[in-house]
Amino acid sequence: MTYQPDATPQTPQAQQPQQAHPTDHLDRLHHLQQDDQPQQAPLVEIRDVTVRYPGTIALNGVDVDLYPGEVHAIMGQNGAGKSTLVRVLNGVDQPDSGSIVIDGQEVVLRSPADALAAGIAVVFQDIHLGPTLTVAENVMLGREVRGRFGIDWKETSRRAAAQLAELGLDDIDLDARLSRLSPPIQQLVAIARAMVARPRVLLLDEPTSSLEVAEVKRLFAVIRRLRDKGVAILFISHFLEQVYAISDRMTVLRDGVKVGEYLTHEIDRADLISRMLGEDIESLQRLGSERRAHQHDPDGPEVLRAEKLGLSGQVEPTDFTLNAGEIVGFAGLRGSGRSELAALLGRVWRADSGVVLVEGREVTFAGPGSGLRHRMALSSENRIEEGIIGGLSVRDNMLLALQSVRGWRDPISQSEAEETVNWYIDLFGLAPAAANTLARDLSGGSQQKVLLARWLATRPKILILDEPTRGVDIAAKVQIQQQIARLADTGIAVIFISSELEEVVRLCDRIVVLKDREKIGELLNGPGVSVDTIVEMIAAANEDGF
Amino acid sequence: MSEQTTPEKPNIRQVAAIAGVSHMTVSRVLNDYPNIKESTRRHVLEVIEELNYRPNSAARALASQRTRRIGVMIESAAHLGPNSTLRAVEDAARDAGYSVTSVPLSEGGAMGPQDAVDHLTAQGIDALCVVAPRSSSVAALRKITIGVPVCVVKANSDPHFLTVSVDQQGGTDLLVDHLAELGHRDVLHLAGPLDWLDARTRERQFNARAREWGLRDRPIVVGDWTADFAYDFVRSMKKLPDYTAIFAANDEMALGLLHGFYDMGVDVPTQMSVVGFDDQPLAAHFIPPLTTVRQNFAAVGVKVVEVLKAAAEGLEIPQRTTVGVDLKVRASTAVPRTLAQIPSVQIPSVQMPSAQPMPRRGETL
Repeated sequence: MTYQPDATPQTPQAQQPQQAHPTDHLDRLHHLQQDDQPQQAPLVEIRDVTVRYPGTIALNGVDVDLYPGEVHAIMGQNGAGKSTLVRVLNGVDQPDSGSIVIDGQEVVLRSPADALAAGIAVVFQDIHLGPTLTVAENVMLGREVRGRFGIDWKETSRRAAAQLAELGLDDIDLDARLSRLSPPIQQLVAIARAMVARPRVLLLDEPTSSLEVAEVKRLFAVIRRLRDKGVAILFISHFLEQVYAISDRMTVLRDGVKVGEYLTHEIDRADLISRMLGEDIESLQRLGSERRAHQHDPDGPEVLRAEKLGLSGQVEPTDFTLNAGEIVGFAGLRGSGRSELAALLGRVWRADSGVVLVEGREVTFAGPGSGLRHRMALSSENRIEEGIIGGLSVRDNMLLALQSVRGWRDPISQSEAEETVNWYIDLFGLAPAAANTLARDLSGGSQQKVLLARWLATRPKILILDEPTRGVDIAAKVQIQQQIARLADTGIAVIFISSELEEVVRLCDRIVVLKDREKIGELLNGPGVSVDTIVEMIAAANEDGF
Repeated sequence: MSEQTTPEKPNIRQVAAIAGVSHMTVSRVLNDYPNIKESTRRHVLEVIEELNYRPNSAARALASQRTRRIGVMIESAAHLGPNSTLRAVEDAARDAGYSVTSVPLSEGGAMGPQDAVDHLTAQGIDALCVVAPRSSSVAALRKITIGVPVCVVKANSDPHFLTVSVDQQGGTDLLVDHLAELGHRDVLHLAGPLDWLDARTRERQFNARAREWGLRDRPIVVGDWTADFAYDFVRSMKKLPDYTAIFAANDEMALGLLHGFYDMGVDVPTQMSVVGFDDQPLAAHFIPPLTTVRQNFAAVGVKVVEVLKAAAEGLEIPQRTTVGVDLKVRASTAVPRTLAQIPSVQIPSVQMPSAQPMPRRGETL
């Protein structure tokens, strides 16, 4: 299909009412004035693009237009096709059908180099930079200025400085080794580097996932600056509030299909989420309200008890009990000892003090599998390195722990395997064809579900979940939370760890608060408990000097 | 006022002393009250003339840059404890010749600390007192330049502000000790909202003291200071809990607990001991009368005014002032049911004939 430049495109100002969004109006007013120029045509048009992966259709006839001077967010659950869209624009994946049109000309992008030549640059979630090189070297990597005697470092450095200054990043030390800078600064350096080639389109895939609030603000300032210079920005993030703060337009994908396109200020959060989920927002809210009732001592029998459990330098000796059917949250900052305590309880780590009893019987440490023999499963915080095996199929990943418990001499029968795998694929709403897909081809959220299935297949009585929803989009998060709540209702005792206190307060019956490697308090959940309660508890232990 | 020595600022008491009348008489003369002997009136006016005493407060404010007014920011006037403190500050201020303007901070943030400070300083204040603060308010105040001495009614010392408080930690210890000495080894703490510094201090100290006693390590419940919350909490119980005593962080929540247990048919104190904190006047008339810790609000008020007055006058004053507390043992606490059941074999709910008044730890510290 050919592009008609004169056909009235859906430009931003054609749709956007001439009034600013109340929350961000100054910024938007400024932006609108910029847009008040003659009608702009889309810079990039993705036309009816379909991408097939083995066993699944990642993108199915998707249209997306990117306009200059606009931040366009692609929203969707993990597995919806967001990353595939980025890969298509970056020349990594080629569409099976459909076309990409830039400035009205159809282009074929066979590689990232093609994409860059076409003016499209990408900044990924994982920062691909040289850690031992300086900031200047990183920014200019591959674009060093050459003089008669090789690289002209002085000029290269000058250009790097100019590039950083243009983005308002002139406070970054050009001569610092990248590895000595904080991840957020590295992220900004990565953007500066991407902008050296003067791309007209910038793709940002989860650029904020490791950033703190202040750093996100800084990143957003850079993004706005680029937007105001007329760069078309495609932004992917699973942080809803960030998307609302930075984007002008959203396209929602679900299962590889475009559900709709909206101006950001015209779609409210609940509506957006339900479109991403494809189901009603109420299921999400119901889960929250269940746990807002007053909690009392658990009814179920005690299944896990730790007495003076500790490991010097990691966790102070701690007492802890867990009852059947209970969800207990471990809340604390990163480094508070929450993961370490979980690892000691799950007998993944060897403690140097105290005991762990499961149903009254002591669990001695005999290697990381010790817990499983007592029907205690621990899903680690680090699903990539310690959990999912990318090269194995979903099926094999799911059966791994069960087989390990059984011992290799007692293989799982074909029929049991099928039954188990199908059960969990169904339970977690994974694609029916997923069983034979390699785990590495799954989205983060789906991988997390596979991991959960792996531990559930061992029929644990105690399930320890360390950050089961990290890096997972909101829909997968809700599904995982719902599954955890359901598991607890069947009598499984759950320890739930999350950096997101909101999630801990929403899901848990009881919350253990940790700080500086020590349990500092414990709360029964209830209407008086909010994220603030936990924050204050952590703060109080500090400033009051106890 | 009597200790004020600066000669350029004569006060009403000096006038009264020299004239040989009470300061009330001086005041009546100044305000043209009837029924004052003409000779007295003339004598008082002469002394006023002689001392160049200027009773008009606005005029005096101009002359001395003093308004003799203390501003009070109060976090929530809805709860009894903070309200008692406010009243005590007002009483003490009046006795010291100061007036008080109080501003409640609103929950929704319509009147935040900055607005409150603006509002008060616009009227002219010599000093600011903050009653029952939340951590967020204190944090906000730290960022505001206030220009007059600030005294915060909170338990822990503060690098920025003067503090006056009853001994929250000591009071918490008294209650935990009282329960532990009765034999309780499993005690629930019903805390106030933890962003309130008083709630936080009591919770932290409960935690620490319970540990020292080796009480069962158990989760706390966070309430909202209201009797309603505590009542609902009890009414949602499906069975009598394992713990044998509840330490509520204020008397209002203790009252809600008593009401809830009454409705549930659980006897306080034989089946459940309950203690509060504050010793509101009504606490002695709860059913059963409440064992609690008495916060001497009047003493806090006096100390606050003393400290602020001294600070406003540039005198040396301690950064932190603590007022002692008293344990008031009444009828809401007894030996835990677990121990009381040993002599009699009846299960499950033994009606003890009467709660034994237990060995009382000193009524005062």
